[in-house]
Amino acid sequence: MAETVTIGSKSYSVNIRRSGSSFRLQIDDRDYEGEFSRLNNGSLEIIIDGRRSITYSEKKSDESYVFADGINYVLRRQSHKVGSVVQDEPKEDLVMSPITGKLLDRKVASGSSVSEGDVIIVLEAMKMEHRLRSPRDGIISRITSIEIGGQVKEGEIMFELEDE
Amino acid sequence: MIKKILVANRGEIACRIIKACKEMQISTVAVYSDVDSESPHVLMADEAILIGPANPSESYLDFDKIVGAAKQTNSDAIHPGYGFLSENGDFAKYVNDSDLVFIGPNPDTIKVMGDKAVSKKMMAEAGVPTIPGNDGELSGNIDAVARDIGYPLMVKAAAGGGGKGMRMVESPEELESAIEAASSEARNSFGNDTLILEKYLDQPRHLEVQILGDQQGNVIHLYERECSIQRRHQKIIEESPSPAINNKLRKMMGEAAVKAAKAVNYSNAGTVEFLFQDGKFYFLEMNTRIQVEHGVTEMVCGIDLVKWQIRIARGESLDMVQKDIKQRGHSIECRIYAEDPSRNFLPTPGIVRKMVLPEGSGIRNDVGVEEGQEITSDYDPLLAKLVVWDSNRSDAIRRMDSALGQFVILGLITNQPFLRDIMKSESYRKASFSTRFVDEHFSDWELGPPSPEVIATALLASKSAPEKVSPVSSRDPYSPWSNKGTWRQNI
Repeated sequence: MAETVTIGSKSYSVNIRRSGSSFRLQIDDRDYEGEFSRLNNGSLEIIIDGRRSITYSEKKSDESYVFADGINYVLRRQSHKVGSVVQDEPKEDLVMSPITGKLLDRKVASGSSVSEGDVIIVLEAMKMEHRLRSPRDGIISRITSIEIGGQVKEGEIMFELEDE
Repeated sequence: MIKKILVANRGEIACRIIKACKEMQISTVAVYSDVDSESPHVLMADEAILIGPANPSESYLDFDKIVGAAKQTNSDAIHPGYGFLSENGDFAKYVNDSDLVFIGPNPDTIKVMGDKAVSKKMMAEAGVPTIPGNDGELSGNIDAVARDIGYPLMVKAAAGGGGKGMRMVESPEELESAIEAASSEARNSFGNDTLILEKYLDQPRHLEVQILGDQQGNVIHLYERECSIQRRHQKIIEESPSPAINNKLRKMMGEAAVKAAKAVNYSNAGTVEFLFQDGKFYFLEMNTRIQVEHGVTEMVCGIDLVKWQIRIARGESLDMVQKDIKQRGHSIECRIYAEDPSRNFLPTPGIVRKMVLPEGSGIRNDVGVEEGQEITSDYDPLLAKLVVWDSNRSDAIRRMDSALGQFVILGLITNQPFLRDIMKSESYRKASFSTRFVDEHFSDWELGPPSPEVIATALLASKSAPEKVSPVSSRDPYSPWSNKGTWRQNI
């Protein structure tokens, strides 16, 4: 779900799609691909175009505080949904496979109403089970049609949510 | 004998003083208002006394509550820090009259130096350069008086204030009409049309000299600080030495400061402020307290000013003479404020949610806040002072830039990005600036566009983190892994 991020007097339309430790980031009309991981001290390691940064963040309702590139930023955030209250935690709508592996189970069908935390998809890779949960309440507008036991590629869309 | 000191202040300077006391094995008492009960200075002191509500006039500015707290704790002395009661002669006298030591100059010195007109006259009599102008009533050949002072000049109402009855005159042709306008404005505003003429300094630098005087009458100076980088007439970046003066001027300025201090029998730490333009310096005022920016002097001179304040207050004489004082290398201070440089430096209260201080050789942090602390609008928005030292100015600038770049402070808007941009600017590096530096070079300052890392961090942080996943073989329903088998948790 796209949102508007405001820093100072300037606003940016942004969207992120995550898949495991990879992400695709859109800022206005530019696209970036990167990798990230969370470090034990609470900071984040981000690699974009081969450039590695260690960043820090904190948040409070619709504000995010980010330290990156040696600068402390305050970002005001607003989701793009019209006529709705800004959510405390903007949630993603599109869930992609974090891994390349095998589809073990598909718990719901398209059109199902789900709650945050419900297991939607179960994957397996390298003897490890990955459960993809719904990031928010909503309706499954689309779900992968791959047959059970079939191969799933990393970054492939597994399901999408829409508002009830 | 001073065995216990009450620190009548808060924030970083209270912490700074408490640390000096600890090193000298002197007990400390903190005072605090309601909103400061968990502030670092309270936690750091040996004892802490609540003195009232957040409003300073009912706590940090209340003579009776502070002296009462000192009496209650059997303190021997009161250190006022800077701001609050530090330059209040009546308070100093009240402390002394209560059989406590006031760590600062004597009350009469504070009072004399607090009156700008009186202090300017005293300094002129002592041979300290003051801003040229006529002192008495304007009479006789005014054109000749003006020519002696030189253009541009200021026509000022002697009784003036608040910008009323003041005119800047750029050339002799404008003088007559400016005098008429100023005198009628002065008559209407103050009922007194006495005017003075004074040289107008359009591009002054603010330089100041640190002095130390003991109670035996010895006075030394610890050279100058360059404090021209200001906003709203308040300093934000200071350095020592000043890149603007040569050794000859440095010596003259230092000697003038010592002369100024001796003229008022100054004891303890003090600062003589000068305006400097076109190779000449003029007395501005004397600050009868420790300054915010004392750290840069400590770094280049290798002398602990706060400890000396205490030693002098307990009657010790200086163990050094002028020729022992050397400037070594270069030091810069940046004041980290909770304020927004893109919105006219408005204070920006908030909660410090994360703070990571820069470390490394030649880096000093004087900090008065900690993680989790709320910065309220009750007090000055100074959060921390970052001080660096290196062997020369350009290296010190690079070190400051790098240290600022490691200064993590999240949860509120601060001037950290602004300070960093100044460090990177050609105009600061070239050092040919005046007190108008911020207006001239950074008045329309805005935070630059964020890198994709900034946006990515904000978006990734609000979403679930990848978690360790459970092995397929672990089908034990009671295994903790069964419940943790999610790679997407909302944190």
